[in-house]
This record gives sequence, C-alpha cells and structure tokens, in this order.
Amino acid sequence: MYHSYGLAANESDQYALEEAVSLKDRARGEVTVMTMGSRVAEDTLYACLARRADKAVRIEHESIDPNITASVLAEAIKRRQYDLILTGVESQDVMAAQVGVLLAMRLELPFAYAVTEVEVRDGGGAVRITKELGGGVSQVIDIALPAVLCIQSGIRRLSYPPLAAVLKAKRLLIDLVKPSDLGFDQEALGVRAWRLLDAFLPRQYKQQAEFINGSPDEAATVMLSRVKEAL
Amino acid sequence: MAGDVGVVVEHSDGEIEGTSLRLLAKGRTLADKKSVGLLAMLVGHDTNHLAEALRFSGPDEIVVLERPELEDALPEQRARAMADIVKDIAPSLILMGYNYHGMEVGPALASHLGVSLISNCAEVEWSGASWIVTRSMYEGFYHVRIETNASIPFILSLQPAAVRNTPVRSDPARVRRFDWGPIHAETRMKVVEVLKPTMEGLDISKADVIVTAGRGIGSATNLKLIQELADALGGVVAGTRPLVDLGWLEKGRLVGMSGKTVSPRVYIACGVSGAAQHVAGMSGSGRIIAIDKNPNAPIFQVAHYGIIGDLFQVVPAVIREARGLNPG
Repeated sequence: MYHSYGLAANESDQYALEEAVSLKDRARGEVTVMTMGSRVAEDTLYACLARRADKAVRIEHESIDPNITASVLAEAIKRRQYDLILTGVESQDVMAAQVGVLLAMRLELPFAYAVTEVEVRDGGGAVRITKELGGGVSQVIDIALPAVLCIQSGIRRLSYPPLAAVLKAKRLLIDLVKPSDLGFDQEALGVRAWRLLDAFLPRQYKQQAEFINGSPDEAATVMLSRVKEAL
Repeated sequence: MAGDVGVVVEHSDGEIEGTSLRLLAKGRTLADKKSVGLLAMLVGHDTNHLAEALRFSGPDEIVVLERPELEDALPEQRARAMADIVKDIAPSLILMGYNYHGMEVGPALASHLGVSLISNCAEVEWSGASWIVTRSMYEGFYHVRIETNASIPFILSLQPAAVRNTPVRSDPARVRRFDWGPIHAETRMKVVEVLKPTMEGLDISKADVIVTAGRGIGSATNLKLIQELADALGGVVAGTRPLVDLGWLEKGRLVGMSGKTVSPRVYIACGVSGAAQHVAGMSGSGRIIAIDKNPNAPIFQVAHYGIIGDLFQVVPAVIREARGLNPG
C-alpha cells in the first residue's frame, strides 16, 4: 500500500510472513517472499528478509485487478516448488480479498481462508488448520499439502527485526522476474471486464453524519442529549 | 434466462442468512430496473424448508441443488455446485455478500466460471446500458466507481451494511430442482470439527449502550478512559479487530464480521475508522455517535452524529458532562 515516501508491506501479508517464519522454526524449511510490483516494492521485500524470510522474488508488474495478480503469481509459483503458500486476507489498498483464493484455484490446490492456527502433521505432508467462519465460529480442517492458506490478522504477534538484521538483509539478492519470463504478453495483462469512471471521498457520495461542533465541553453537552434521547 | 440477476443464497444451521434476504430485495430492485428476472440460487442438503422461506422474498424463481454430500461441503465444492447452476441459467449479474462466505466462495465461483468478481462494493445500479458499481479502496477512505462491460457476466459482492432493504413480499416464486451429475469428492481436505463460542461470560449484544474503541485509542492503558465513559453511561466496552489482535481486549468484546453483531440503542465509536468488517457488526444500532480526528473516516458515513476532534479531549468532557460536572 502507498505510504508517504514509499511502499509498506500489506498488514495482512505481514501476519502471513510471521506465520511462515514460525512454521520454519517449528517444522524446518525455507521461506520465500514474493511480490508483484515495481522497483519501489523492493524495500518491502528487504523488510521481509530482515524478518527472517530466506529468499525474495519480485515480479515486475503492477495491477489492481486481482485476476491478473493471481494469474501472474500462479505462473511464478508453478515454476518453483512450495509445500505451503501463505497469503493475507485483504489488501489495504485494493481491498478485494480475492488473490489468495484465486491463486489456489489457478494452482488447483486446496485452500482455506481466514486461518487462525496452523499445525504441521504427517511429517510435513499435511496441516491441521483452524479458520474463522464469522460471528466467532471456527472450523478445524485437515489439509493435505501442497495447499494455499489465507492467514487472518492476529494469528500471532508481529515481530520487529533488530537493526543488524535490517542491514544484513540489504546485502541479499532479490530474484527479479519479468512477466514475459512467465509467458505473459502486454495484452494478456490488460484484459478487464470493467473500466474506472472516477474516484472520490465517501463523503462526496453519501449522506453523512450530522456533525456536532464546538469545544469539547460544548460538543459533550450536545452529545449527551443525543444519547439520552435514544435511551 | 440470460440477462437475469442471480443471488447466491447463504444458509447455515438450517436458516437463511439475513444478508441473503436483503440481497434478494436489492436484486428485485435491480431486476425490475433492467426488466429482467431475479433468481435465487441455493445449494446444500435438507433445503426444502429453505426454499419455502424464500418464496416471498423477491425472486421469480428459486433454483435448488439438493444433495446430501453438500451438507458440510467446503467452499470450493459449494462454488462448483453453484457454478453448474449459473452455467444453466446464465445470469448477467450474480450478487453475493462481502463476508466470510463471499470471500471464499466468491473467488472460487468466479474461477469456475471464468468471470470477474467485483468485491467489497457499496452500491450497484443499472444505468440503462451497463452496471455502475461503487466499491471501497484504501481502507475505506476512498470510493471508486466503475462501469462494467455489459456483454460479460460478472459476480458482485456487496458490503453487508450497504444492503439495508427489507425483504419484499411478492408473488410466490417457482421452485425448480436442479439436477447435478456425480459429485466430485474433495479428498485433500477434511473437516475435523466446528468450534462455537462459549455462551458463558460477557455478552455485549445485550447492552443498551456500547462504547467501542478503535485504533485511535493508541494503547491498552488508554482503554481505561473508554471504560470510564461506558461506566458513566451504564454501558459496556467493545473493540475493533486490531485491538483484539494486539491482545488489548478479549474476543468477546469484538464487534464486527468476525465477532458480534450488535444493535444497541446507543453505539459510541471512539477512534474507530469504520472499516466495512466492523460496520457490518454495528450498522443496525439505534443511534450511532462517532468521535474521530479524521473527517474522512468512513465511520462518518454510518454514524448518525459525528464529532471531529481529539477523543482524549472529547471523551473526558462527555464523562464530566454525564457525571454533572461540566461548567456549562
């Protein structure tokens, strides 16, 4: 997502990375972080490497269409071997909440969305996961690997790397992949079922709250009347 | 019939989800505007009474795919079943809810059909020639309006709070049983158990007044201010997802899609930006008052009253006022 000076890793995906690193510790393995983005996105990959990802891959393309993102990522992933693919649940910028499941469908892998717990079983051949169904209800599912898990925020606390790790990460190489390496041409990446008309602030579009003005004390007096009226 | 509007009906524990009824009412409005039919699509097991429950909720026809194997079906299997119905009736627009069900079944259904899913939408209208869709971006602080290619069918998921229509009474719908071929069994996944929240302890949904803290509260220690306000008003404290993720509040106090849906007489949101997943859990509240320093926070689209200001100044003032201590 866009920050003032650059890009920050999507918060939801940070939880996925945290879980990946935890799984690496619990089950032994290697974590690769992958992103589709411009060169500016490399800062977020270095931040991931500082947080104990082992490898990083950047695919040179940008899109706000989740179908395109999923298709490109799927092609890159197909050319590598992974037991588990972890994603977040929703991006802070596009907010489509689709890439994880679309990716699983393109890879023809089993998937689970809003995962809050992952346990490795069968010597690494399967996982037992807990996922949210909404309203406080959860489901426990056994899934054979390879699989895609869309990790829910809050699965564990996010860790912050020490400065030494940040500096060390900057010396690692990021694997750069071009869409043409994956068999995509410009036309395939531009297909859309819709076009953008305009963008605006919600308050320009929908009826807003009635605002209570004045000093905190004045606003508090009015607010309390509004509360009492409703009770 | 081609060109119709279809609604994916959600159900669990033998009941139709409220969101689906509201989507059918919305679908009725859209279908009437476009002069096409409205179809409800239902997959599962033991669906007879569910189909009956939908007959006066707006659709012209209810298409039911009933198979015992679909009783505890996982999202991909439900999507596959739904895709077969869609291929048969060929609607031009399919409506779903933007919720846990929609986030999992939606992309899977879109993939099976080879169409786009436009998700997290605040509104959809028929322009006469195409569908005009408004959806949220950038943490809800922006809306974008997009126009669809009218010759391509697509799926649309609507934010639960965006669909407020009450269920309609109409002529009773026809019910059609859809025949499905051999079920593709999913051998790579197996449900072990379902965990429901315990009923004991605090139930915030019973309170008349709820005071909710969002990220704007800044730290766990600042929550005592929110507790003081709740105490002064005879209410309970609740929180948004980020606070529960950080461990500042227990899960039972979470209001939103992943927690409780509440509708108290008074809902006060302090430092809550108003993300769709949170709003889905409180938009039915009697009177919503929001305090936040960002005038563009999406919470002000759902609140009845808003105060743009520093909650660390406003909340103490309200506490003083409630205790009769304010000078005037």
